[in-house]
Amino acid sequence: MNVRRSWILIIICLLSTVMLGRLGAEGSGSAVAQSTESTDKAAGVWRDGKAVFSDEPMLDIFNPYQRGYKPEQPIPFSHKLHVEKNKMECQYCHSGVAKSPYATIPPVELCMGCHAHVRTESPYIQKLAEHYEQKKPLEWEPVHNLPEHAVFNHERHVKAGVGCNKCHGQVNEMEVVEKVSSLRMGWCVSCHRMNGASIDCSTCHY
Amino acid sequence: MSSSSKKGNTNGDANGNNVSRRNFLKVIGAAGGAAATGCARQPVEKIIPYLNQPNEVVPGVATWYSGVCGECQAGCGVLVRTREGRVVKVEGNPVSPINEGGLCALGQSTLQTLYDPDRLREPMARKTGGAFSAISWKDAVAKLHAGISEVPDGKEAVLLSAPLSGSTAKLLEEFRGVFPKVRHVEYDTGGQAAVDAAAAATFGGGYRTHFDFSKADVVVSFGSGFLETWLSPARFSKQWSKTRKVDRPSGVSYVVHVEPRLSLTAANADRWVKNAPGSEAELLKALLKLIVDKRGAASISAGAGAAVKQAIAGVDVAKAAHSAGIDEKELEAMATHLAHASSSLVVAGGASISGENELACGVLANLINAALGNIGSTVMLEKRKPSETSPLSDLISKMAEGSVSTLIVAGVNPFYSLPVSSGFRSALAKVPLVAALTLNLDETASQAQLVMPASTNFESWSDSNPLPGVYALNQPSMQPLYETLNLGDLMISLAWKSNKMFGEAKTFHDYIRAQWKQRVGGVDFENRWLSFVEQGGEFNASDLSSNQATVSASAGEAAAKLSERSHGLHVMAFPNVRSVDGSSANRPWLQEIPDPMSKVIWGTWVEMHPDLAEKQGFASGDVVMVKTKDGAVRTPVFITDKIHPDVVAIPIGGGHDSMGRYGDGVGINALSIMSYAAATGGISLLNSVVTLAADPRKDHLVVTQGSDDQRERGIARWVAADDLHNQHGVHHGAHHGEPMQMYKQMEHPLYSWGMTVDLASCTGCSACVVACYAENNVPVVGKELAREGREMSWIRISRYFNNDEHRPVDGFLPMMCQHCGNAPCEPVCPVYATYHTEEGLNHMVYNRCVGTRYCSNNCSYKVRRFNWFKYDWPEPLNWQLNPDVTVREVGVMEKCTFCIQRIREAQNTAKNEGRRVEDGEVKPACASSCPTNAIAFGDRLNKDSEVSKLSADVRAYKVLDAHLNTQPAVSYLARVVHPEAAKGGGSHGKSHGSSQGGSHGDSHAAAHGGSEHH
Repeated sequence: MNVRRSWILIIICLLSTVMLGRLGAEGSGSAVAQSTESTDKAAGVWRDGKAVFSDEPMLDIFNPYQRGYKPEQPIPFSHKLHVEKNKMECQYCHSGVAKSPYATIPPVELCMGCHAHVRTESPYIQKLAEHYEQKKPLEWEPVHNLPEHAVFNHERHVKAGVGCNKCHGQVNEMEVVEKVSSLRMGWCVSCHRMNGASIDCSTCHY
Repeated sequence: MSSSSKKGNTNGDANGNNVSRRNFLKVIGAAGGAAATGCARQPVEKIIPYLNQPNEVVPGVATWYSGVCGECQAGCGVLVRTREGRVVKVEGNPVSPINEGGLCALGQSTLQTLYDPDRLREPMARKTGGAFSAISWKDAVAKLHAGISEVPDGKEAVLLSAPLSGSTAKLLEEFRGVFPKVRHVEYDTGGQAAVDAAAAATFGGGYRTHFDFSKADVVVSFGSGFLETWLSPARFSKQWSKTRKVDRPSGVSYVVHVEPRLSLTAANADRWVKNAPGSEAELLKALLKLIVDKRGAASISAGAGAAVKQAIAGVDVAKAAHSAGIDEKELEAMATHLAHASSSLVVAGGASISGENELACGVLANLINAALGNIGSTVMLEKRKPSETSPLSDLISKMAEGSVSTLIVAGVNPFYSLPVSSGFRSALAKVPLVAALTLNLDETASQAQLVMPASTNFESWSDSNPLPGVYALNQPSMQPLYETLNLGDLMISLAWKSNKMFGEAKTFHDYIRAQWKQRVGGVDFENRWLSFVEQGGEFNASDLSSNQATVSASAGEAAAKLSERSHGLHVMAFPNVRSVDGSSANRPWLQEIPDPMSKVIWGTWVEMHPDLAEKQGFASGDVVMVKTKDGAVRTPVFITDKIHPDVVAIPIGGGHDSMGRYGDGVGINALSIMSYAAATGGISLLNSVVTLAADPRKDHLVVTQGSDDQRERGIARWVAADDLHNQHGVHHGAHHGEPMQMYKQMEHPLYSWGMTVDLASCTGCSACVVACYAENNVPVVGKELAREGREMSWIRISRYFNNDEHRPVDGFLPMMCQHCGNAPCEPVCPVYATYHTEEGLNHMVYNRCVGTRYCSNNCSYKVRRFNWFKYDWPEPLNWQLNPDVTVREVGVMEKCTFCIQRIREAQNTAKNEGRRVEDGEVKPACASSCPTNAIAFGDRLNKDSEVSKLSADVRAYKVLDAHLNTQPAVSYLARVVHPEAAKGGGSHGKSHGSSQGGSHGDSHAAAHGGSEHH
């Protein structure tokens, strides 16, 4: 009996140590609005989309858009081909990213700018051309989707020098776009803390 | 809120015929998250980008278009905010000389006509069996063309519409050249026809009178609701507010309003004179006589002299006053004020003067203005072609005779708005082809053989000429939702069928352009046209002050000859800011905003004096039958002592049966029991009551304000213009000293947002309330939930009565979240969902809220609203939702945010430009909608900001702060009344008669008291 109890105690102790360590790394955890000056910049550890305890992948079961989510798109557009091989800039297609809250998906017209002439023999390009000619919109599957109560502004982040890959990962290496970051609040906040950005609730929630 | 649109931006083509420009929307996937269900992967929304993205559209960034509000004839300029090709908000256009920014409640709510789920979507024709079936536009035009081109001999075709202006009027002239058998009849519900008739009778045909309240030191108004619905309320409100400034060189204006009931305009006047119904003409005569006596007959211009002499012959002032039930001294004082003012204005209009003596009242007002030398200063004369329209009564008799073969009803609803006794309903059945160009399948359209869906101003081109030199130009701001046409395009299509064209105009847009080119000249036209489109018109208002006209000889006769007024009990149908002529009944916002005076929502009521109610044994909320010789209606009683005992009053606008889901069956149609003045062709909105009887039916009124008495708490304060330090409406002598602070005071390193509301300018018109609904996705809950106190409006207009007979309203107080520095709501939230931001906002984090409602219970101002349910916006009403504001879910508390999305937008722009947000850059929806600029918003840390200056004003106070130390961020500036009016009553917020409070208590306090008593 005593042996069993000790084992349980040991397990609890071990778990607590792990948890406390994680929580310590996360910072105070308090939602009290702090002025940016008083922010403890070392409080959050932000690395490869794994920042804090609340960002543990096992918690993804609560998230409708899990890390690793890579839906099939109506046209298997390869970012790797376009960005890595053909050296296109992200902003060539996602032109709204520095002037709008949204990065924006390019109009079909933009694709046709090249693909009226390039790779016209490909069945996918033929599908694209068909959509364009029949004035039938393309319906893409969203990969990065925030809930409505969270307001995110691409323009502010890009202008603050946050690179696309900070949140979206190495899209230039992806054949199929995959979600690599949790986009959870703790994950956002830890980066805000690291960079002295506002962590006031009203920055994102209104 | 998931959403998807199949319409893109028009990019200037309203007709949808340029198919290659048809664009499709990108649904903003990033912001449009749908509710997640459990742990399952949610059904994902699609991202649908444009096929061809218009140059001016950046998804996520608003595009603004200028335009014109088409709700009434006033022609206010608007700025239309669109997102991804969809109209989401309307604001007043600051460069328009009509409204100078600001827009009334009706104008704000136009969006709900555009997105009305019950809007007519396609042309329909009546089958032989009687039901409607859809037909193509081609067939509809062919059918109508046959109706107007093959008119049998001795018969005619008639176009019945509201008065037309600008290019539409010009096009109609040319149209009648193609179809000579088509006659035009104007149907005016806004009061302009009566004013024009009076001008014609006074100065001869060819003149229109324009009023300028901004120059008047003394205004005497007989019934004209110039601050609510009369002619051009947004413009008049702005002009009036300019005369209510304490630093005005000639002092604060003195406004007297004569009307049997306390209308919104009466409530804002310095003195309300409660006269007997129908006595206005006699009073005007007596007033004219007194003025002539005071100023001497010699002072009156030779031209006017004869008419004036004829008008006042045999007038007995004492008798007139006695007959009207007012003190003779009242008239004396009015005349003295007018005679001694260097600039004054007398206006007559509205419901209370309508009827047999309407023309005489208008002429007498003109004569008084002429006698006082106001022509050219406060009354401007515009020379114009006399209207050729024939009276409506003539049309009705021709229809009844069977000599009208085709009737086109465009944009008006006479079947609803004409009294039954006019005979229009039965005459309509005698017309073989009735065609309606209409937004909804309304009462008139549902009697038609052919119905055609009309465009709104958001979807089509139009122009108008509201003032001489002012040409308002409206461009479409979105692709038409359905295949709709406006009257101009319909006329062009009909002429096309006869192989006729108007110049080279293929569309009404071409025609308007050609008209403008002709008017402004062809030099550099393209660039100038672009600038007209951009600013919303050409605004070179002509100076009319030199226009003078001789008073015609017939004026005296028109003024002298009065019909004997009938005594006894009358019923009055009055327009108000929520339902001007009933055409806006299917807009849920307008149904849910309270009437500013009675605070009743969703429905109609009959206002009754307590003496009369007692005599008849009615209690508030009882259903009564009001019967006149023309019909009977049944509606609940609203007991108020703010009405003459000889009259009961019912608001116009209820009782629809064919408008749509929100308007049908709400209230009763007061117009149906009115009489029709065949002589003037107008509706008399005052009629004798034959029977007033209790009705066994049960109904209830939903009144949203619990207490009419502010109990000296200093909520709505007022000062006399010559004694700004002495605030009334507040209990004096209670000095609390420096309050103790329980919490550490918040520091504001960057901004501290604050608001001021100048009660001297606030008229209670409720435009801000509607603007807030539109901007912040505030749901409409309906009558039954509102009865439980569950309405969601973030801003309400509190109206407090006092015991002064002639100035019974202490003030109208827009009450929104006060963003308290020591907010009572914050410490009681167990989950930290509401807290104070560094920018001084009391912020509400919806996703933290668990719905304990402690915050609402602890709020001293009762401005927090709880989502008891999830509320719906039936398609396509949801298209109006502001994409920048979260749509709240069930179980979440919400309240005014100071339009934080607009603050964030301004901060974003400022940050891009490397500067701070400037003063005036952020305007919350309420502030930008206000027709009188009563609301200012800005940074309190900036000592030069408007808000800082105004909140340091001697009139500034904070509601309940002295009692509770809540430190609101909102300061109110006490209402200013004329020194003369301040003498009147001992109004210190004492309880006014018990009739109102007591009777309300019975029927509503139990249900509603919890939410509003404060």
